[in-house]
Amino acid sequence: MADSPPLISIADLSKVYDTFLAVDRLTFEVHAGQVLGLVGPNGAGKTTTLRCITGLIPPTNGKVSLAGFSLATQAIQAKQRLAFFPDEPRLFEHLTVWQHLNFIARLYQVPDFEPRATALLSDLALSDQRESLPRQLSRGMKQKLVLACGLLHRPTCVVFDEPLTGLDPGGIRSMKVVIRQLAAEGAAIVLSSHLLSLLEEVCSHVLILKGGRKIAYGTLDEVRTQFSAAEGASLEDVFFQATGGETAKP
Amino acid sequence: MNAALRYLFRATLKNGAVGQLRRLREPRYAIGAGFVLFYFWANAGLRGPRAPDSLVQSLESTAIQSCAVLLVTLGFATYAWVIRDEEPGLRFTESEIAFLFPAPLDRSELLRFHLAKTQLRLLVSSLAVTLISLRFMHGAAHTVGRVIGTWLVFSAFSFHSLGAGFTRQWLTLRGIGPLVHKSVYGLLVIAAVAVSAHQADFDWAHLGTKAELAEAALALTHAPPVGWVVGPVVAGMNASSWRDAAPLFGLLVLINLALVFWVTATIGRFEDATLRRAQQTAIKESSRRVGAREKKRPSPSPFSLKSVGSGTTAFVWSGLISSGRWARPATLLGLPLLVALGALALRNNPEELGEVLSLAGLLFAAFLALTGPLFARGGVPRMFDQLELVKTLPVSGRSVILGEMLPTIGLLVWAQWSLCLPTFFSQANGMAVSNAALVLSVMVFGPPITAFLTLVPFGIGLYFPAWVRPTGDGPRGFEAIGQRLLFRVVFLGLLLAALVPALALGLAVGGLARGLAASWSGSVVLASIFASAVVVGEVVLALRWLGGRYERFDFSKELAA
Repeated sequence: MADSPPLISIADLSKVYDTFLAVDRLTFEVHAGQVLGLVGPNGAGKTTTLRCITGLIPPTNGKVSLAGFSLATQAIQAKQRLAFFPDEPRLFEHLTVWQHLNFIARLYQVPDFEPRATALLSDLALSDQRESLPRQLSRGMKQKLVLACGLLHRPTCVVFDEPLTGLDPGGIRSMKVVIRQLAAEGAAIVLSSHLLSLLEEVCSHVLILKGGRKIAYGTLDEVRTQFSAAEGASLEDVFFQATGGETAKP
Repeated sequence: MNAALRYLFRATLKNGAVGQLRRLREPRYAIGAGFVLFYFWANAGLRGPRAPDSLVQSLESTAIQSCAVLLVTLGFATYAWVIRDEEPGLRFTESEIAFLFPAPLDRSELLRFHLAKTQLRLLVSSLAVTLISLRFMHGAAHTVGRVIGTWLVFSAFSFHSLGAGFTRQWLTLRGIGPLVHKSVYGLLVIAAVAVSAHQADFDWAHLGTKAELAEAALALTHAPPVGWVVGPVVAGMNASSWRDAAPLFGLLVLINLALVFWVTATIGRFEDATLRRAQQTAIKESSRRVGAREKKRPSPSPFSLKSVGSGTTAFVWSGLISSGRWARPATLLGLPLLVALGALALRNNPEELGEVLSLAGLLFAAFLALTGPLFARGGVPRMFDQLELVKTLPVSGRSVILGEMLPTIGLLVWAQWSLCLPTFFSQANGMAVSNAALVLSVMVFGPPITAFLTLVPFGIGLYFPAWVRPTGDGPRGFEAIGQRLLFRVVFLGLLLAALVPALALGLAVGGLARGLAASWSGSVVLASIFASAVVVGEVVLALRWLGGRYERFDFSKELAA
């Protein structure tokens, strides 16, 4: 699918906060069916990159395109194709579970959303919570509701920020299934996480950031080769070689 | 205080001050700070000594001052003994509880740390209150003296509140219930006032003129035991020199020491109470952070939201749900029904009460159009609460702002029009046609003005987000006070800016129509229609401008300031 035009395209992206350069001329692409893992030590610029991709903050320089639409000039069309799953589930406290789906359906123009919303609630075991307010839901349930809202409009560009935070083992397994399923359906996915084992399990590509700059980018094998890591070396080994970080000595 | 706690205290203080100073590099904060300094310089006596005539204090003003002190003191005491129903406890932050409570620290060290923090907060509040209130004060006491006096009084209130809370808890644990505390407190207050009235050097039979009322108030508030509370405070406020004030401050220090002794004697196991209270506060804060109101049950959808159509409608739908009972059919229909029934009942009133009330309704409707948006700003904090969620949605900034504004505008306009109803019933009873034209003009001109003014807080929020930050951890300090003062000035300035072209065109058109032999009533209505059109145009332009600003809004920079 890499021959097709990229669904997520980032070109020369930079973000400066006052005098601090958070992201420095970052360029990468994610094609349909690919899952790109975004890794880096704290302060590497991952969150800023994700925020720029999702339109939460404007980049200082560079271009972000989603499904061929520029986020700067065709924001509505670009966001129509996007789903963002933040690390903290953010919900409208005054809307019930079902009202959330109704609201999102209207914003993303999902005709006849009811059957899909009902199916999503059923798949995510939220059917009994249709009339509950977010404050009545556990953290895991809130996470599931965010997932249902994000999947309702069948996005082609998907961004996950620490998707496993706060999930129980069942929730973690379901999340991995969802990520793989979305990729299999042809979505382009960017996933940021410190859990390198998760990235190793679900990602087809990896992008390592440090100090706002790209230091490795490609498939896991390509990145291994880049850092002369032995075949079969884990992403964790590659990560520490790439970033020059040190593990704690036992 | 323990060395570690002293370090924490100093570091917190220093970092807070440095943070506030650094913030002044942002022009808007610098402007806010400059504005508040100018305000204090111009209005609050920082220019130097007051004019001699302001030193003359009338009998009435002294009486008002004494009564105000009595009422404020009574208010605080009544709140502490009767109204307050939360568990007593010292206020610690979540981090302090997490780090300090498990630490090997003596209970009294924690108490001293808390007292130091509270006293510093009270000192800053005293400084602000003194500067703001200097303009309305009499006497020539030095500003620093007033700050110290106010600080001592605030401290006394604070210690009293703690002591009362712990005493009530102590009594409750010993089987003496709240009803008994409240009753005893009520009886004590009544007895104190009765004894003071008896002791007062005043003939209560002669209570008619303003001067006699003032004399009575002075006599009552200066006779013991009420005088023991009011006297030192009033005397401190009016002391003309340090020498006069010193004994009073000494007395206040003694009162504070007695209160500290009372607090420490009744505090019991304050960690438990403090922890419970901190947990309650944490839950409330966390709800507030995510924009949750005290809502127990979900609100029904105000209308069926189709899944295809304008995004603005979705925000209106969501805003109406968030408005809760204010947007329910029972409330929406109940208000005009109630007003109409009242107007009908009074239409044949011989004393013309009906007409007076209808005029009052009309005036209130106009007042609501002008001031309602200043108070009904729910959409603004909601917009900022949900910024991280909404900014990723495929909807334009203009649609978001319009959708957040419309519920507020709709509810305010509905209330305005409902209040205009009585005038129509008066009209049916023979009111002049010109009055009906006036009502119609208010009904036509009110909504655009309401819309424009509802937009102002959104604009201020987008350009000066720190001014409307929904969470309680927003900026504090003098520049924040300045920003709030500026907010009011900007609001009024923009109102004038919107009104000038609208009224100019309205008056021109109305005058022209009148010149061309139209009736007075017709000219007024025509003028209001044209003036409204101008304001609607202003709203459309402002909305377009702010929509663009919303889309470019970089909250990572703006809200970090």
